[in-house]
Amino acid sequence: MTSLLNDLIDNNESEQFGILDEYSKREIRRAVLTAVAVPGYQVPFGSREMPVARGWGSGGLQITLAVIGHNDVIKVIDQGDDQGVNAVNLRRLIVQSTKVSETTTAAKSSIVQSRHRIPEDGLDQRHILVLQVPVPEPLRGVERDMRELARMHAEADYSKMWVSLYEDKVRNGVITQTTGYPCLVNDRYVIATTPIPRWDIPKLDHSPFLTLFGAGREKRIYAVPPFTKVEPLTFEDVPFEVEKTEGATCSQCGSNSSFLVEIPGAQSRWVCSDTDWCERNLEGNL
Amino acid sequence: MGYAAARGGLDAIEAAENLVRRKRLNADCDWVTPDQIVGRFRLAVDRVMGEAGLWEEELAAIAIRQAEGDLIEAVHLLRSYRSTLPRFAYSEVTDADELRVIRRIVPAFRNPPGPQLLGRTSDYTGRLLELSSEVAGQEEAQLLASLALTQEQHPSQPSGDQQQQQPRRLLETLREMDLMVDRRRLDDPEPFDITRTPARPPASRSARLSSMSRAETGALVNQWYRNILGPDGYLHEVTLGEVRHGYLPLRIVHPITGNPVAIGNIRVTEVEAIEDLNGIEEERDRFDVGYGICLGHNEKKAIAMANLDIACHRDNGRSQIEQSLLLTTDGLDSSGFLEHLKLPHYVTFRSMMERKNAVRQARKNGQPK
Amino acid sequence: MNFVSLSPVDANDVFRAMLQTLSQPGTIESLTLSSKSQCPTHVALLLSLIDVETKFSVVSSVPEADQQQWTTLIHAASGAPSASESQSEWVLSFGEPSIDILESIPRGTPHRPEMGCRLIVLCSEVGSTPQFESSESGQNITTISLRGPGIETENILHIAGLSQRFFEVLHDINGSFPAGIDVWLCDQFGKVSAISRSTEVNVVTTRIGVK
Repeated sequence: MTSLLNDLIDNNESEQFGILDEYSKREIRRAVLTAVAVPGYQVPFGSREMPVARGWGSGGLQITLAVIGHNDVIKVIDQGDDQGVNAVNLRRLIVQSTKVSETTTAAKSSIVQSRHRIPEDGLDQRHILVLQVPVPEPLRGVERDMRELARMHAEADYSKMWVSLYEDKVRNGVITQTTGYPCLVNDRYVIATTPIPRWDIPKLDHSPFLTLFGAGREKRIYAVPPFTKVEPLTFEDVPFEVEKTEGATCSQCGSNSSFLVEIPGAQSRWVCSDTDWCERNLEGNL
Repeated sequence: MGYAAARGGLDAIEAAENLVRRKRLNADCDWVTPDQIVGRFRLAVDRVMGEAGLWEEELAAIAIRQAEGDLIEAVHLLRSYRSTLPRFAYSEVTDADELRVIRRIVPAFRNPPGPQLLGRTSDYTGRLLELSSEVAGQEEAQLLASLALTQEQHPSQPSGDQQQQQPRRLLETLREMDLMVDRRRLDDPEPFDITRTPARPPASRSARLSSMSRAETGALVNQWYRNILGPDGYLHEVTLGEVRHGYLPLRIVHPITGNPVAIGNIRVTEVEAIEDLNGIEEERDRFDVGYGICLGHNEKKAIAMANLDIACHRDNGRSQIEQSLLLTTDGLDSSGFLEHLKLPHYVTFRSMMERKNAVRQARKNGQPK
Repeated sequence: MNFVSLSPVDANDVFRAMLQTLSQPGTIESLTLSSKSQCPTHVALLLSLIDVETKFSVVSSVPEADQQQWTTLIHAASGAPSASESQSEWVLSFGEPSIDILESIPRGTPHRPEMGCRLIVLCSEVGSTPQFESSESGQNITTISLRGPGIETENILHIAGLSQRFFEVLHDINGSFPAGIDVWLCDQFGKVSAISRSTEVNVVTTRIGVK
């Protein structure tokens, strides 16, 4: 490149190249700050095209790349598994472009990027948890028009959501929401808790760590700060139920106190979804 | 321990990548160069540039080759590449009247002002698969190449007068005849930048136009069709006033002299669609106009865009057509989200199975159905 | 100084401190920049996040800080356009900003909370204990209690250089949450703390410092 062309490039950009330029990082950082200032509000941001496709974690990746510093240690999981192929690909992209250290143990990390799970343990006030969000809009099932959705959040009018949950309970005897259970944050905004299982929802309430939610395709970022009230929407006489199967224990480490996933068959077996926790439990290293 | 076990997933990915690379490089046929792709599949190249929002034929060709012909995948490669490019400058505003046409038709009139120039089109040719000797075709191509015959006039060597190259718009004539609603603005608002801020309804016209300009071609055509004949039904087909394919100059401000300087040309397709106003609250003795423009030669996209532009304006927020356009026509968003279903979803599935059991249990316990 | 600069690595560190303090309002972070940057800490808070698209302004109630000069330096370093307070997304205040200025900066709306301005205030000192390093003489010394998101039960912050009135006006402005403004308080020692618009702030004590 000629020296004239070099001069024309904004100075901020020339030092820091790779996947995400300095300019984009700032925009994401500003959006993250707004998200933290207004817990649960979906902040719009100029989502960039990433080497991973939309729907595959491009939002989570942008947050991680904007936030991560040279002293951070990264853990990346998918369904709780560090070895999940998508997690491996994302971790590889992050480490190659930033040169930070990586780990599979949450307690040794400082930033955890995750699809669909919160680690069973190890997160404290030092941590930032980045969750990948496919659909950030919790009211998607009860309202299609985006203008109306914006009004509902702006005016904290969640009546349609409540009616829908009530009808669900009446029709089915239980509330049938599976993962991504809608929660009220700081008594103000209802959020989509990505598809994390109900099992993980209590970890968000008054957590010691900061949770950032990235939706790259829909171009929204939201946050739950530490020590913030996160309440699953339910009725007084309808207890919030997590996924638990009587008698199920992990066939590797024996746990019945972690989130288990099924290996189907004539005789179902179960294993921990959090593979690192499972290994440490097996080794007595919790 | 923890890190050693990480090899498993990485090994699997690397094996998959090697497979792709080997098959792509070692297919049992000749290598294909970007020149050949630009030369023989120009419309695919144009479509990819338009959907990526990046004008560079050779790069688009490389992307198509790397993506093994999956055009949306090629668009993704090009857009990611665009994300890494440093920004030197913003271009100056270009007047669309500067477009030098190599093709121009006006369906609304038999003898419009300026020429009807069919240019390079197969619109009126029978759709017959040409299976005549492959060898004859190759020989002719070689002969033409050796005679250095080019097919299209280049804008730097104009032939024909100015009226031929930059014909007067039908719209101007219709305005003189006082047949048009005049929605021209006197102010000059900053256009909405969809690469910086996500556009949501209610959006400005510039947000809608730029979203459509980068939309996936099939998605935009489908939006048009389902609104004409499908269940949505919010629009009515237009009469085309202008369909143009040609070159537009690109100018930036010179960093030293401060004067605008032309740095090249881009090739675009541009459409002006005349809409018959027949609504109760509309000016029924006039026409209105819709506008479409996109990079490269892509007429179906520009026509769909022009029709949808005027339809959105007339709809004025009554229906959800604007939401459909802004949010469901981007190829990367739609295909990315669709294909993400292939990712592991066993945590969500386990949660669903648990709820199935819960519902059955509730029925057993005599809860209402 | 005739120019300021902030390296990308320092900008990231500064941002992390701002994120940490906003996530846990009332806690204190200590900032030091590397030798690659040439910038006082309070200016770094602004420079780390602004760019050609963010309008900013600088105000000053202390004679040592020339508002015009700092505006020029910051614009040169970042390309960010300067604007009036009522148009700015970021405002840097040397010393306590006047009530007029506080009330004029944008707060956003319930539909668009992201339009709420971010205010950085350079105080004399910010601390978690009532003992200050610098001289208290003639300063407004205010102790505030903070509750809300990011705070386990309650955080206490001691500030030299801001009056009770500042917090009363801030309380009014942030009463229409989610509209509101977010504030970072910093001092000459590089200490930073933040008050989110979601934070409930109460003045515990206020006094004028004596030598």
